Amino acid sequence: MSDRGGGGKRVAALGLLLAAILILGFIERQIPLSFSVPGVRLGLSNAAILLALYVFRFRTALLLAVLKSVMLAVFAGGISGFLYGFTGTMLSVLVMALLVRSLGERISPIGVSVAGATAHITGQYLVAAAIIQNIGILLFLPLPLLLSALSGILTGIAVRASRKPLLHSLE
Amino acid sequence: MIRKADLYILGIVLAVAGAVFLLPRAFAANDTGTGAVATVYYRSEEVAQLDLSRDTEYLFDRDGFLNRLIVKEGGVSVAEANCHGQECVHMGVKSKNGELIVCLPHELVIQISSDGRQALEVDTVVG
Repeated sequence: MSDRGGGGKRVAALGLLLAAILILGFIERQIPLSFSVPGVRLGLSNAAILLALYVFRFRTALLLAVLKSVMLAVFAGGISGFLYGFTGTMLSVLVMALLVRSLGERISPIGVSVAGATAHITGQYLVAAAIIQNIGILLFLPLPLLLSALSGILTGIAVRASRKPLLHSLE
Repeated sequence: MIRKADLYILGIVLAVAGAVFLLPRAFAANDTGTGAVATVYYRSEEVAQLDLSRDTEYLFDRDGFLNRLIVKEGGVSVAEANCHGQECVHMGVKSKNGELIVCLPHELVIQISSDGRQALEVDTVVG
């Protein structure tokens, strides 16, 4: 999982990935997927973070994840929503990194993506439970979990398809 | 290129989702089911207790957060609110023990119980 490519290509690729993460993150917030359940998103930006995990170092992907949360909170308005987004994204990138690092090619991007999406939504609900001091909100999880798993599968397919091309372009 | 690990992950997620879904039903064994009281919590502090046997309206109005609750025919619902996502309004009518209506932006929780006790409570974390 070492960094690839010469300095210039790497910087350009990172910039593009960060831009993709931010744009996707912004778009996903505009599309509410569930009317009665808060926090369900398309998880598109997690796909870009996963791509970063495969092509760059963990540290780099972690930085991108932090930047995503902070910058989205700043310009997509949601300082209050920052806690949810930050926790979800961090939990997601940690889980995905753990899986990629420990299983490598024994797991495909699809599985990692599903795990990341699950971690993301679960993290958000844990924050909600802490804020309202009521663990009962976790009972609302089943439907969001299913939707997140579905979104994870789709983004996992996208990552699987774009991983090699990205690696090649950095050589 | 699907590996065994992928299926395990998916299986675990589905199993957890299923378990959480079935959890309330398992605990409802010794419950009569229909709730008697809806307790309204704001920032984990109890602000109102509504008797579900009497049709009534309760307007929650604190710190700019507005939620209009309606108790009707043994159930409670949020008729309107000034929160952004309107998720609480879309949650519909709740009437069974343990059910919740939550308005996250307003930090408002409405819990149905048979005696006003909070059934699923998280104690404040002690240092």
